[in-house]
Amino acid sequence: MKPLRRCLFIGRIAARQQLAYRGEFLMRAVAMVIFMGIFMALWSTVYTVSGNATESGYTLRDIVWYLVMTETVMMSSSRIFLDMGEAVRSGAVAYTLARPVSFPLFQAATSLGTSAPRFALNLATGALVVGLGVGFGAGSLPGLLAFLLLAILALLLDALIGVLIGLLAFWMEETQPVFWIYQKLLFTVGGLFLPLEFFPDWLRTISRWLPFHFITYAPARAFVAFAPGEVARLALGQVLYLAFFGTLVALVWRAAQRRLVVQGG
Amino acid sequence: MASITVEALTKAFTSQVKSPGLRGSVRALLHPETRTVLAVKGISFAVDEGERVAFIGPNGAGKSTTIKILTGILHPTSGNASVLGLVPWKQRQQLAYQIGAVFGQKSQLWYHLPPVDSFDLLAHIYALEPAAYHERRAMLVELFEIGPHLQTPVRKLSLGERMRCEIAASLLHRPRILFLDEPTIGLDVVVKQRIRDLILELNQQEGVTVFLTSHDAGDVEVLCKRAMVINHGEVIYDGGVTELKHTYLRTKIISLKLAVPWQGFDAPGVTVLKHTGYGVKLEVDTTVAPIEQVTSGLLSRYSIVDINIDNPQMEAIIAQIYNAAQVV
Amino acid sequence: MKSLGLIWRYLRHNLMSAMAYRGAFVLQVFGMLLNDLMLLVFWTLLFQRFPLLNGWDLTGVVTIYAVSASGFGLVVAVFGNLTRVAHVIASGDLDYYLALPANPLWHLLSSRTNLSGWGDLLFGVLLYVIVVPGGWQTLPLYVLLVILVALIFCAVGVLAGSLAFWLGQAQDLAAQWFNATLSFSLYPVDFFPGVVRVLLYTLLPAALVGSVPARALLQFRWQNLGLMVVFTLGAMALAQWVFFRGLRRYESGNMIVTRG
Repeated sequence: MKPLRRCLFIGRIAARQQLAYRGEFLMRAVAMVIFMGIFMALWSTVYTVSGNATESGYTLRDIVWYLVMTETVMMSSSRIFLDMGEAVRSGAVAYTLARPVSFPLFQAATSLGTSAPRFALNLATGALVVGLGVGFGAGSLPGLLAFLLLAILALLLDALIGVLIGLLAFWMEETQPVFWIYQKLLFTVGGLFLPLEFFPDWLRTISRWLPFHFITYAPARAFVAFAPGEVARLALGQVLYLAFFGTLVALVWRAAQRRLVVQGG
Repeated sequence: MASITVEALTKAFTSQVKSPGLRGSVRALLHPETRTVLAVKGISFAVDEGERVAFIGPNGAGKSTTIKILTGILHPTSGNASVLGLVPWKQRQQLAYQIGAVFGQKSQLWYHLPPVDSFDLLAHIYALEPAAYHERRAMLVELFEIGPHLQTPVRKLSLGERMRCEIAASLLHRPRILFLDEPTIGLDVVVKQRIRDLILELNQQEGVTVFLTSHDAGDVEVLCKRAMVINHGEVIYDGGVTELKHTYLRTKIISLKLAVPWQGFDAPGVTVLKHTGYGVKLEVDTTVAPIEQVTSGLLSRYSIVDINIDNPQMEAIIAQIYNAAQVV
Repeated sequence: MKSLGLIWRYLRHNLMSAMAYRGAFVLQVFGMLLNDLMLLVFWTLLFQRFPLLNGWDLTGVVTIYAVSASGFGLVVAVFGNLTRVAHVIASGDLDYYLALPANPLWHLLSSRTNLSGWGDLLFGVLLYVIVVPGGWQTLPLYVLLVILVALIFCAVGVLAGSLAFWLGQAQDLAAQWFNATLSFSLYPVDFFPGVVRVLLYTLLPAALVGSVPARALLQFRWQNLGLMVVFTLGAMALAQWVFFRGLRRYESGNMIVTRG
């Protein structure tokens, strides 16, 4: 249990640091308001034009709440790969070898700690704006609980992928483009802007096998359309992908360490 | 001919006072509470063409504010200044063609490119004729001995090499006044000396007025004839560097090597700085105890192998001036 | 005119500097290109189900992307410091530009390039070439519109950044203002309710860097172009005036917020 306690502590420090940048924190809320405004306008137009009450099983209220949830997860994601790239370029990473907590684990904990307060802020702001805009009557209490559970797993998965991108700094001068691509995969096959139900069949099938929808689609879907069986399936998928990316991070880190030794940091 | 004249120059900064916490931030947004700080308090002075002047004072005394006003970066709150016949904050661009500035801690060279590329760019910014520019560059390259570094990316140069390139860069447009802000900061002794020699040579060859701020006493002693000491926004000393030393030179340092162990020496105005067995270092306040009196007292008491009487370093003198000013 | 020469010089220098790290340059440009392309997936899926939304079809939205991305890419490629104006002011780095005899605003803006901006520019141009109807006759109009869009982005960036002269630490606020303009520009203005629409033609001139030039390109009307030209000139004049007004208040590195 000791490493876990240590990671929790690292996460708490990162969270406190987030809260210290009040201005930036406030601006995140403003960004959330702007995005929600854009989505409400867009989807109101869509539903007015189509004239249908539901599209692919979603009412206007459902879809807007779905977007609050995906955006909450998405905008809480830390940019840990930036700090990691800096540590690798400056050679500071060599010092972390001497520490009792491994570098990727430390970074993953920092990433989660950074995400936590952002998550609370984004959820509160988004829910308020959208509730005032289209009404509060979406989702359900079990849906909310399922959302929180799946969102935690989603952020964990996102942290691991973020660390993986960060580790690429050992081989690449610039990892930002890789992050952009990852982000846009969340936008598209991850179902950030459009629930998977709206996809053509072939794309939905592909998306269901990829890890990205477990980060954005899964928690949001659990909230607006709670079904125990589906939640269990999504959670299982998340856990499997967590195991997969956890292993991948460990392997890549081992290769990175060899590179570190060869190059002397 | 005066190249810089300053009359009753004042600069006030208003800083926001903010209470801690989110509430404080919000309140500060609605009812900003401000506090006015006078960084420069009505200073006046004049510098002649070709002079080498040191502008010294502790951090926050107002020296960089004054330099920034004189180069047109800041607008003063009140007062007049004329640099080469121009009002800096009104004719900044015109003035910029005729002055050069080196900020020791900020680079004007492009980090990833060789210096020669930055030189070319500066030549363009200063609208130099290609022929004149090339001639000037060749002369500076030779004087500063930077030929071998001209084609190397700046990030691969040593600090000393980079600094020589920096100063050369700021001289490309033949400035008539050179403002140097901490030009030798972070350099080792040999390189420092080299930079000083180059600045002196330039002053003598081209009659460039040198306006220097530095915390390095060596810079001041070697480079400048005249010193202005500024503290709390006011000029508290303006005169020769030599006079500065004499005026504030109340103490001398006596180093002794004895044939017998040290057993103390009590006299008013004499303090023991340190002693190690047969060696001892004393500080003598010459206004209390004349130096002959102290030396003869020492000679009568001890058998002395070696004696050395030194003036304190510039740092010590400046520190003394600050302390005196703080008491007032 | 002298400033134009300076901007050109800096553009060359910036590119030379970027070429020192060719790998990173190529990666950023193509990464951004791919990034932008994937944003279009959403619209493709949406318009497959709803072919026409408030007068906009897929081609219309892609045209918006073409002009907005080209204009944004162009301005941050040439004026890489546009998104850092507030930082440069608040940190006192403006000193450097003020010590040199060039126009400090143009000098500051052009002394850096944004590598990913080249990717946005490339993306916008590709969309224009492949998707936008009308053939090569529209090329001069496209070029003109892109320049106008770039200048409006420039005015917004300078205005937002100049807040730092009055507020000190205004980096976050300035970034948010600029980013909001960019975000809104990628959606047809007709999707938004009246009040928001007013905002999008004024404070956050997203309509004028997205829907309006796209419409001008698709269905040319002199009114649209006229509106663009007048707005651009006005916004640039205002931005310059505000910046030089702020310069008088510039406090170099002395901007301190004391906590008491």
